Amino acid sequence: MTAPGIQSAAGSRVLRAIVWKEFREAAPTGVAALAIVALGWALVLMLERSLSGAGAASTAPSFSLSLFTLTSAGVGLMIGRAQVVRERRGDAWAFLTHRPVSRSTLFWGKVIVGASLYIVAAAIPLAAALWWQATPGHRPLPFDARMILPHLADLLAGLVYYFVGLVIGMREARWYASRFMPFGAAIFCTTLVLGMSTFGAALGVVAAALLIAGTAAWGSFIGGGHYAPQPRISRVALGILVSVGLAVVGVIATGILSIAWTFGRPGATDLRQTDYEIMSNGVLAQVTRMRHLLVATSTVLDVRDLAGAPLQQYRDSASKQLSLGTGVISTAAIPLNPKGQYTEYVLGHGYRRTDDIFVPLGAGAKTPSAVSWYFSRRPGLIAAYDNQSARLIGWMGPDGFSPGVSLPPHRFAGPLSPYTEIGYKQPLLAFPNAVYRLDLDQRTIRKVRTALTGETILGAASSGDSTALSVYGSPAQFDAIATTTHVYVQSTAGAPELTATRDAQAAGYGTVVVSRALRAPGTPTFLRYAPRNGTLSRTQLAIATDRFTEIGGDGVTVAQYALPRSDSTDTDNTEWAALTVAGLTTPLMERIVGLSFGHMTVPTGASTQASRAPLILSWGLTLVASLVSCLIVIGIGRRYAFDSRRLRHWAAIGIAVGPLGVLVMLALIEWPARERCPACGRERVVTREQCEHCGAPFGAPALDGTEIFEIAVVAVA
Amino acid sequence: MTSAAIEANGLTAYFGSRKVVDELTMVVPRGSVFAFLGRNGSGKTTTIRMLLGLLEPARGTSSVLGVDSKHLSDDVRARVGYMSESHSLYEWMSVRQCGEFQSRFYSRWNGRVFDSIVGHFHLDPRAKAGQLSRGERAGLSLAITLAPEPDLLILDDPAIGLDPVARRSLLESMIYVTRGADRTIFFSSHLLDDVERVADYIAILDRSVLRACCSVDTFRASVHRYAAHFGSASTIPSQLPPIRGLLHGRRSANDWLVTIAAPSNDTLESLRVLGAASVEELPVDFTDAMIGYLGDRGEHAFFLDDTAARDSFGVSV
Repeated sequence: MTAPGIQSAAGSRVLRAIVWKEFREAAPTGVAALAIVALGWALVLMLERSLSGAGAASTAPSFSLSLFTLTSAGVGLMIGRAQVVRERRGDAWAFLTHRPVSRSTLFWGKVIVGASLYIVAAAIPLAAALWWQATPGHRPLPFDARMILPHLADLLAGLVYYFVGLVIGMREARWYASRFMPFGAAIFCTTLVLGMSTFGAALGVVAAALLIAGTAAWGSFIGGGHYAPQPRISRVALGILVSVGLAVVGVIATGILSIAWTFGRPGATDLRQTDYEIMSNGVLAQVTRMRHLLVATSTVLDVRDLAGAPLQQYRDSASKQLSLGTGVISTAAIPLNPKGQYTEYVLGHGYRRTDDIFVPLGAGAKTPSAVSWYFSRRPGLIAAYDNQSARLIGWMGPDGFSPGVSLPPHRFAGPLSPYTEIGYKQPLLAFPNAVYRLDLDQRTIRKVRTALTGETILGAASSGDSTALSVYGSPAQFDAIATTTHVYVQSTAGAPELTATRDAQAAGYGTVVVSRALRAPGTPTFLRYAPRNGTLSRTQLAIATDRFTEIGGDGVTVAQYALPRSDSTDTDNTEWAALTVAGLTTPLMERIVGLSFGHMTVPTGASTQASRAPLILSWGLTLVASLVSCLIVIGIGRRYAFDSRRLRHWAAIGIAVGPLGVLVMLALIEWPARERCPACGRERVVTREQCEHCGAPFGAPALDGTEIFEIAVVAVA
Repeated sequence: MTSAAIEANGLTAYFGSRKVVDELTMVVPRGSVFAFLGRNGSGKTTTIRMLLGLLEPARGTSSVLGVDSKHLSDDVRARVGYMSESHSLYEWMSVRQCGEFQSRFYSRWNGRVFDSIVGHFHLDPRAKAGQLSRGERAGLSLAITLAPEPDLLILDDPAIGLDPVARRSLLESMIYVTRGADRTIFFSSHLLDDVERVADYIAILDRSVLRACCSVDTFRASVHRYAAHFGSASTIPSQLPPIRGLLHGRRSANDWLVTIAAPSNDTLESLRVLGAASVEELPVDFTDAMIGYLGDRGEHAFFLDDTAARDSFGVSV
């Protein structure tokens, strides 16, 4: 595509001259940018190397917000701003622009150089770092080409910062008003890039942001940093940048205020919460606790049975402070949905997840290890890396450990189920047809279950290495395996202990936790199915509650029931305050769009079964805020003599985005001076040829009798 | 095609709420050397920037070579040479690189003009622009402004800060470019000798208001100085009554010395009725006339209205 203003052979000669000049001027900034990015990578790689050499639990890199995300953004901003800030004013601007070439050509000349320098400055260290990481002996970690994608997204997102830098450098505005607001928009872009599920979606976000930021930068340049002379399309783009920036600033400010509000009040960090717990005696009870968020402790307030009656043995306050669930051993949540994301440990989100490439095993263990283990999905094998030499030392397959880099003949069949055995030295690995126990210290593997015909294994979890195991012995050591039809409980040696048919009512649920009350008569077992992370729709999820299956010591199901909803946290004044702020600041347009997509936003703390009052209040406040904003915008517009078309546009913006529209209007527009009209005596804007009130033109300056005007000179025209 | 190189009609600019150019209306004839005068801060540079489309006026219109200043095409900008008062250059470029860079933009770049002006100022082609003296910078700046052979040359105080030799060189170069060609030079300056030497027309901005726009001869003929003699100190009035066109008045022991623009018979009569024994017209040269015109309006000279200064300097009235 030919950029506007670059048309002819003479144009390309001019463009070459501009590119040469821009390159000479921007090259030092480019070199500094390269040094900054390279230094950032050097620090990251040195830290990684030193951590892996020390046998740190995990040397897996973070792909969510990396240092490169920050450095690429920073140098993009730096190059963009530096390119225009020296030339944007006075004689330097005149010298640049008063020449027979369009400002668009000058702009594109700058962009060709600036963007190229940015790419070179960010990509060279990136390429070097990736080469270093991919070279065996540098990092005890599998390397896959897909691991480049997050960095590639960051690299491209840095171009958005480059254009934002151009806008910030050009804008004639106060730094706290619209000049720096585009930076907030760039931060929002990065947030989206980090949150996208696929690389393609991230590219889409970057492309859209580049289009908007690039158009705003172009318009700001050809408008000499002013808003009014710009083409309409760039005014719109600049408006988007500024409004997104203002929204980001608003969100940050609201966050800071709510933190101050939360932590500034006595008792504000105490959260009253009710949940169902298995007591030591095997009775399921409703326990209300006060959780003290700051000190991470809790106090039992109330213990009741499922019908809501207080339990006698927990009536006095001393009994409530005892550990209610002593002797109750539970597994981690066993995944029932192969597509669910069950652990926070997965690095990054979407395309930034390494989980799709490898799963670190044993990571999170408290003691450092000499070897790092990764289940590598592509070969379907477990790779072992020596942390000291950072080299691959062998592969673990279903047949055991095989030293060396050669791949063993047999692989694990099917995908690894979502892995939740974080930090265990002997984790369970569940595949559709089998479950294996891995001993990382001994480098051994043992199949502990094979799927029966007609069923598929979904997940497995063990009762773990807790200290309770030493107290209660073998009954405390069990593995639980969930399949498409059953939940199996067996000893760690593989001996069957219990088989329970999956609760049909819990179809589509996300997890099951197996608990055993070792102090209770008959050591009953409980299966608790939870709906989160499952395959239920939003509507189903909103009404689904946890389900319990209680199995006696003889293996017979005693009871199966759904628990009443217990997430009854208190609604206090804080939430009403949040509700009010949200109501006043949420744009009407956002609410309407939300409605049309079927996402009725329910404010924090208000459950769907709760009163509709919060919803009505929230909508009411939004409507009031929109109406008031519209009136303010119209008032300002009339004060500055907007024509009716312009007034209608801004009124619509006021209605659509509420207070944000008012702020955008105040931030974007350069407000003309006003002075008293000598004809009607009212204040009039100085940018109109006639008074907007009475139509009188501006008069010539008063004569003082010293005027010497030669008719001949004027008459020449 | 209009015969005006520059036209301004009601051109007005504000910085914030301060009016810096007030309803400026003027015409610059083609082929003329037109001096744009005024004290610092009177709005000259702002006017020039509005004429060149570098600054959006609050209201009013202007055109350059017949084209609206807001929409100057590449072709028109190629025909308008502009030299700013700071003699902007890319500091890292050598003299030769400056010429080569500029030449890429202009289809009628005249290398001989560039070389001759560079030679005239004795500039080393390899010297960096950032290392040149102020006079040398002015020379280089002028060279790259004149080499495209513009139809209209707009110079914003080109001689500011230059020594007499450099100033003379600059003037000679300006004269060189206008000889025999239908070229227009529009320049602002504080150097009145130079203005008198080269300008055909002048326009004077007084605190953002255009007060004069005429030929140099007309201006010279319009500003007069009179000495009104009074018999004794007791008969001399302490203040002057309102006199139309009064630019400046200074009282001495027995005389009032007044500078008046475009005086009429009524003006002289108003001096006589004060009781002056005689009114004598004094010769006034262009520089004096201009200083009288550009100085503070009213009857008092600099110190006479300033009690503190009068006390400090022991000035007696």
